[in-house]
Amino acid sequence: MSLVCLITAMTAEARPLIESFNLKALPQKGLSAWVGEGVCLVQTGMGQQRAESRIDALLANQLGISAFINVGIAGGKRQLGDVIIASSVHDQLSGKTWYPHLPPSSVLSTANSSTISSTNFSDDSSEDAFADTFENEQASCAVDHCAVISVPEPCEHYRSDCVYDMEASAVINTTSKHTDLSRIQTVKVISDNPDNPLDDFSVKNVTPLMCNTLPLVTALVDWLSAESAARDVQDFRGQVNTLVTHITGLCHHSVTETHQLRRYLERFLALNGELPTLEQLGQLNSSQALLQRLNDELNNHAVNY
Amino acid sequence: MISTLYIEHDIAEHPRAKAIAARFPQSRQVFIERYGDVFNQSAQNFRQQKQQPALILAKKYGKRVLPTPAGYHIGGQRNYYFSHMLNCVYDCRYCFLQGMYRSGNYVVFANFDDFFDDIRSTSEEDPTTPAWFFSGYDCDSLALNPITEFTNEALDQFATMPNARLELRTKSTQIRPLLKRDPVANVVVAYSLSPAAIAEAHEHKAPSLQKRIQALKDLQSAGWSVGLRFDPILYADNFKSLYAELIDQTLDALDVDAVHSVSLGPFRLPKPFYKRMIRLYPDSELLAQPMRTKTAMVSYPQETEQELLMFCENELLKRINKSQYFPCVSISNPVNLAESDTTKTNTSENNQSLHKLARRLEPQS
Ligand code: SF4
Repeated sequence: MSLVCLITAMTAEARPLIESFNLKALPQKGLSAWVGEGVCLVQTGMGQQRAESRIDALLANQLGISAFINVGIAGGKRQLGDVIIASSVHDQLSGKTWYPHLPPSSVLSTANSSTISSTNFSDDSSEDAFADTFENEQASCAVDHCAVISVPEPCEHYRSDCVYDMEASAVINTTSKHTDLSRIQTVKVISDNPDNPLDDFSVKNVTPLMCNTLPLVTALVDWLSAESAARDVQDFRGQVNTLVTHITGLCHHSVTETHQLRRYLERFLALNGELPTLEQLGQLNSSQALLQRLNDELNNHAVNY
Repeated sequence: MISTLYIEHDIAEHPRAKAIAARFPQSRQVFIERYGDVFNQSAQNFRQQKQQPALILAKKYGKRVLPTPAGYHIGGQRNYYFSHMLNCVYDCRYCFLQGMYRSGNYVVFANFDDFFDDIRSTSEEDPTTPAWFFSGYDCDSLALNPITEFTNEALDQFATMPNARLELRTKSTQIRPLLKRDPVANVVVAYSLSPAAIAEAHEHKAPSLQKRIQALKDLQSAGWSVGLRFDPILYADNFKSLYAELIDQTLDALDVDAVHSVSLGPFRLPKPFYKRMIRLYPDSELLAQPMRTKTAMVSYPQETEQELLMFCENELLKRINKSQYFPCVSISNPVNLAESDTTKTNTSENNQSLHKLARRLEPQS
């Protein structure tokens, strides 16, 4: 089962997501992570280094994560509560830029967001505000996209063509070692702007703001879970790997032989639509004999149209 | 169809880029410095992007017209290719673009005028020898025409370049712009053809063989010069009946004597491309078939390749004149690309060397 992993920095950012996706805490010391049906979440703490180390720690659990969504707050010259999806993520320190492969417009058009005005979140923390916001009729406005610039320190140079955050680049830098850029998305909600600068910012405001991201995050989770090309390859490889593990457990194969075995079995599955049974493979007492047998089978496979 | 448009700042104000962008009013627009920032970045998945490609509008700098691989020609002595577009709307499982590019997004270089200027000056370098220009090396020449309107502009330009010849290599049936105008004498529209069942199995999203033959017929009836490209020839146990039928079906539909050229090409891929392709498509039946890897190239075992090519050559030569026939390798004495001088190419997977490897292949489409 493959999971979509949500990544947030703060507890207040994580909470609406944990509730919305009905996630349960993953009992692991030193790691704030939750898991549910098709979705997991890791809360990394603030800053780039923490983001990298916590994501690595989560991935070490081999949960079967196949996609990532970084969700959090950001500053920009936009309305408080506006939600954007990142069309690019730029790391201000290294100068590196990533361009995620964005989902089809149809995915985003199902994810209309509502905007919380600055008057209704100031004192209204917690679940009630979250529930109200999420359950109310959503205002119909398309999800906007823009550049996300990750900065090492909080910054108040608000611009209209980008938003500033502190983790997105670390998240994309780490996760892009595990999957491709169509399976890593970044969603930000505006938490400070020129009229509501960082000095006025309170962590209490974060949870209701994050509620605005839920329609988009839900749509992205659905899309990433259903995406067939990646799933097909993953399922295909999964079947082959299971058999490889089984065979190499019964009969020693060197590293090179294991690679060869894997590719032979992939080819077998591609050509026949199913893997060979253990009976078909015969006695598993020699890796060389097994590879030879598979190679012969593959060479003799009928190709007809 | 296109949800995301990436637009280079340098081309954003170009009227053609604006016209193309205007065709996608619902698309999100992302402005970028250079197309390579998006197209060549790491951690991309060609197969995934192919499901929902973005369109990148860019300006082509540097060399826009390049010499074809040694030995590739259809009768001319000076042979060049150009790529006003990278990637293709179709999804043929044997296509080397899958192994060459990290990205499945489309790139359109909107500065067509610069391409035409380069083509004109290249053709004028030797006014006594016609120069051939092959389009469709890194894309299908016609398939994206409704968006780019490249064909009309190219035809207008080539009509004024008597010393230049153009091959539009395609599988597309977007031939309306050609049928609407008088034929241009120095232009050949060349169709890549495979047996119907093979096309159906491996040439995803491309028009059926029937439709391609109909397009050829319509073009020929309208006076256009047409070419036939049986390339790549793919193996099947029943290849003889498949290819005999393909050749008959195609030639029966056409005025054979009026066919400009017929070429034949084997299935070959540079090893790094092949490796990338099986990583992307481990489940592909075509790529799971027995192949031989020799030095830098992957192909069918030599005997299989020879049998395929010789059979097709014999079938073709029963119906066409030798003067119309241009095999992509010498069939009785196959050029071993792996051992040709181009093996000096470094096969490490940097872009430049991948491009060099690709230039040892025949044009796609
Ligand atoms: S082989 Fe030609 S038609 Fe097929 S995907 Fe490649 S460029 Fe397109």
